[in-house]
Amino acid sequence: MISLQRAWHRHSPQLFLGELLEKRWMEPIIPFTLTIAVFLAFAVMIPRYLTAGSLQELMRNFAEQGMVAVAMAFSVLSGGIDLSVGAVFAMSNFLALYLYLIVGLPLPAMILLVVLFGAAMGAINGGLIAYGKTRPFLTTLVVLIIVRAAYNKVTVAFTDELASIDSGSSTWDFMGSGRVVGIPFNMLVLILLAVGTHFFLTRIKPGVHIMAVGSSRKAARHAGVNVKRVLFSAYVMSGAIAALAGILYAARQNSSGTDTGVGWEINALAAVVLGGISLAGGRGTIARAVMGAAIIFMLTSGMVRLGISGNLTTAIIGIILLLAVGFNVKWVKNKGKVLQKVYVTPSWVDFEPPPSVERSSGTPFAENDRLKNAEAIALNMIEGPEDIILDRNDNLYTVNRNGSIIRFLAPDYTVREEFARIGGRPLGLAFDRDQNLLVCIAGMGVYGVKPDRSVFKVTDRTTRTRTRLKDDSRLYLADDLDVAPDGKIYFSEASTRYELTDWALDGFEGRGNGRLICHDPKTGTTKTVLKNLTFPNGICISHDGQSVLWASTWLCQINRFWISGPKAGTSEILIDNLPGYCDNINRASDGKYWLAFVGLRTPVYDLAMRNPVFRTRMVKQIPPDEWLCPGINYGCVVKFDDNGVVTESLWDPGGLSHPTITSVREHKGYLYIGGLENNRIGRIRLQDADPTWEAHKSYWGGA
Amino acid sequence: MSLLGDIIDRVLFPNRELHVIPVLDGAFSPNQRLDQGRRLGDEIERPDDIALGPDGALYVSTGNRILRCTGDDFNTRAVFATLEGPVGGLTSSPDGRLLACVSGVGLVALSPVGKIVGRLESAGGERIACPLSVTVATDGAIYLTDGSRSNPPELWLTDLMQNRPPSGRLIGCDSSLGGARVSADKLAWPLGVIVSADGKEVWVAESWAHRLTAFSRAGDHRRVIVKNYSGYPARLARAADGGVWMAFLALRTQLTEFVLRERAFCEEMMRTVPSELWIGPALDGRLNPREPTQIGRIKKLGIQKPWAPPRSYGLVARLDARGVATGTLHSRVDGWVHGITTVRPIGSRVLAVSKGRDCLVELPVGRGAEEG
Repeated sequence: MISLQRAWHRHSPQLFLGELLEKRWMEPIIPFTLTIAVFLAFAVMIPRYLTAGSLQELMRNFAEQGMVAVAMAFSVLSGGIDLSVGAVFAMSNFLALYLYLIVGLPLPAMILLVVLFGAAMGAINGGLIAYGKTRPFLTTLVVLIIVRAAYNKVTVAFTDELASIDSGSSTWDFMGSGRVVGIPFNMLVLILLAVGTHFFLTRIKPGVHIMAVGSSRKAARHAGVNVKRVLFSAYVMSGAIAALAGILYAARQNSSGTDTGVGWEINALAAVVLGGISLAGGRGTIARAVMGAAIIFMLTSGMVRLGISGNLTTAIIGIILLLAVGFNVKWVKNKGKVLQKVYVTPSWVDFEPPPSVERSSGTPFAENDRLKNAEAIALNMIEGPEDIILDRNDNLYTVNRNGSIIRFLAPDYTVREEFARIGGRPLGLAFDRDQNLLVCIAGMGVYGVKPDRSVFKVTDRTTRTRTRLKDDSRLYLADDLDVAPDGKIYFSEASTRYELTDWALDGFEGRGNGRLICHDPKTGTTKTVLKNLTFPNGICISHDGQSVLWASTWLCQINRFWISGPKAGTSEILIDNLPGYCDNINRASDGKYWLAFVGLRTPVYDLAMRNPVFRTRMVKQIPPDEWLCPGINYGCVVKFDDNGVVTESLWDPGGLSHPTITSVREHKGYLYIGGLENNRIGRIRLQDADPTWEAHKSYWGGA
Repeated sequence: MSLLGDIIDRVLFPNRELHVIPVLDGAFSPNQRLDQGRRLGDEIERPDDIALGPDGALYVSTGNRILRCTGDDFNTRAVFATLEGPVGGLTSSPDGRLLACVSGVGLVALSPVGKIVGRLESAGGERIACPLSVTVATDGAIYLTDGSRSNPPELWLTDLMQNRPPSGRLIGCDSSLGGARVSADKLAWPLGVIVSADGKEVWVAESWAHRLTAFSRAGDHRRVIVKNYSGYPARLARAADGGVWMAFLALRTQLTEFVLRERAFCEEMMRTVPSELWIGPALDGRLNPREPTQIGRIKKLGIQKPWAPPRSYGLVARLDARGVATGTLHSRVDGWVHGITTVRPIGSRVLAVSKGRDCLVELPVGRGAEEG
């Protein structure tokens, strides 16, 4: 039973659900499901609904309504509304017939003119709204009335001519009733239009600007968007699309009646709302508008075919719309909350009791006072030196929480200068052979600073995991790095599910969310070497250059990954069940390694790690400041060798000067201590260390 | 499921009182006045209570012993008596005897030379195994509290975390320790007890119920004075002007309350983890490297935030004659006067016993004491 529970928590389906809900395309899930449901319902209720002929007929009748909905979507997404689409559609229908069949203009010229007419109507709307600052609702209502009235006049005036027209060319007939691989021509136009406008609104600058203006006019203006022009263009596009629909309708019907396009703006608006496009603008897609239109169309036509009376049909549609819209509004509004509730998915982690850290225990971890009198460098001149490193001239480099690399000049480290400003939250540091300073930056990736202070990007993406819903190709939380003898950069990405500020949540999950990634500067490629690692943190290339040592913080392990030699490509646990949470690893002068413990294991937290349900409820029930977390208020430094034997530890009892130790770096007989949340860098003299040893020589020889 | 339960609960019992932690506000607004207090003399190992003897000496209970302290800062200390168990509450009676609560024994009366001259070991047919506090009314009647039927006073944290139905008692007896009777039962760790200024009521502060209750001495009437404190109330003492001093062991935290609800986790924690490392209130504010940490406790830029979730805290409140808090003195998370079990006026001074930090502290005078 226990093992079943453990397996459940380790491979929780909630994980999939959380990442599914995070997807943008989950927003229209309600209209999408409804479309399918309505279609299937009619397929069952109406005989021969699924035959090719029936489907073609449905598509043929639907296409123009879909296009008018797309036209409406443009104006709604821009933050307004275009009520004139129905009237413009009807007028275009008339103009197409008149210009082509009565006046006898060539087809391309007619299409161009009619689309220009639609655009002109849109320009009137857009001009008044954008430049005249009139209300979209009233403006387009007025245009609706005027165009509608004009349409009624002209159709009456040309009744006879329109009644006696015969169909034009074969091209015209093809536009009206032709098929391309079984799909009616007008449906094909709708599909092309929908795909095209979708790309326009999501990928092309003027389209993206429409969405931006719809989301927040003020923010768009601050971002340098020409709001007036964008608004104007949205209405022009809306009008042009409505006109296009009118041409296709003309080709199909070859007639222009008084009821053509009546109430289509209402249907289009209903479609847009049903599709879940926010009437406040900026939120929604073209696909949603088409889905909404399809639902309304299928309901109307299906009920007609079922023989339900017109009034009842309207009433039923009204009720369905009300329910769907109400539900959809709730869904769109609360999706984020649902996501919050299901996203954090703690795993089940079993811990053995760790070796004792008691002063009298006699273990290598026994508490002592060796860091107590550490000299404070840069006291109150630095905020959060997560990692530190020294160059060949003994200058000290460290990271600051505001996103810059700070340098303290040798020999006394009192002069502070900003070496480079990159942004993000810089974490691990390393020098490559050419003395470029490489730095892992949480939220950005891996960057480098040349000795002349110019900043360059090393990498910000890696191979995407194909089996995962979440796009993990961008680097979320690059943490620490080191350079192998062949120049390849190995770095850890601590988590692909949480940002640095949410490290505690990743800790609660205790799950393999992180990766070990390798970047090859020679080819410029980045690829994931190991995945599903539990918070991989410190990275260090072993003294023989054959393996990468990496620390798993939440599992309190040191692991070894072989990069060359007979065991290349294999992985092994070097040290397990450490009494503290591991952070950065760095080389020591005696062929061993320094390891920083960012915190100490606490029995209660170990117990909580065995209890995923407890952690889930804790996250939900109490505020973040009150959460139980790993004991990271109190750290120490330990040293281990290539066999995984810990030989000694250094302590600052009470964590007075160095509460959260994230990195230790040895340089010329001194040990430098950095901490993620500290206001200083510590330094102690190592009695038995080689006073000439420096990391650069250890990595790259005397050069 | 819990959400559904909550909803049903809210629908069926809309007026049920929520026992959430009140915000430190009003008279309880945080300050650092307790840290401005003056430490008296040397360290005393885990002092629990103090009493002023008729001879002007200060008696302090610590471990199994009672110390007799004299001198300006009560720094001349001598062992007054050594008893069979840890000593808790103390008070001196008008006839010159010193009354002491002894764990596992009951109430003991000591002569001025430290000899046991009287004992009260049971009441209502049950032993008084967990005596916490004792007080004497002006008419000589003695009231003492028995904290729990499950645990002795030393295991106060166990008693809290077990979260059992309250089983403490208020016991009254006459000045010769005879005629003991149970005045109230089912109290949740009644650590504070005093007789009200008018002599008609006995006030009891229940630590685990976070409340102050008055029991009428004559009849069976009970009246809740304050129903929900932000901390765990400790001992009560009468002030000279008719008011009352109230100490608090620690503050409640959301995490502790959460763990108290999570019974399975809590039981397993108590079974497998040493008690000083449990989630729960502590008297000692000094950092144990293996104690549970909360996010807000993490030091930032070398600073321990005073508003962090408190594992231990120092809080003393001044109540008026009606029991309403008029002022408080705090020692916040970064302070040094934590885990106060008693605050008592001693002569013209007011002394607090910081069991967490092993010392006696004289409260700052003037504004601090009067306005809080």
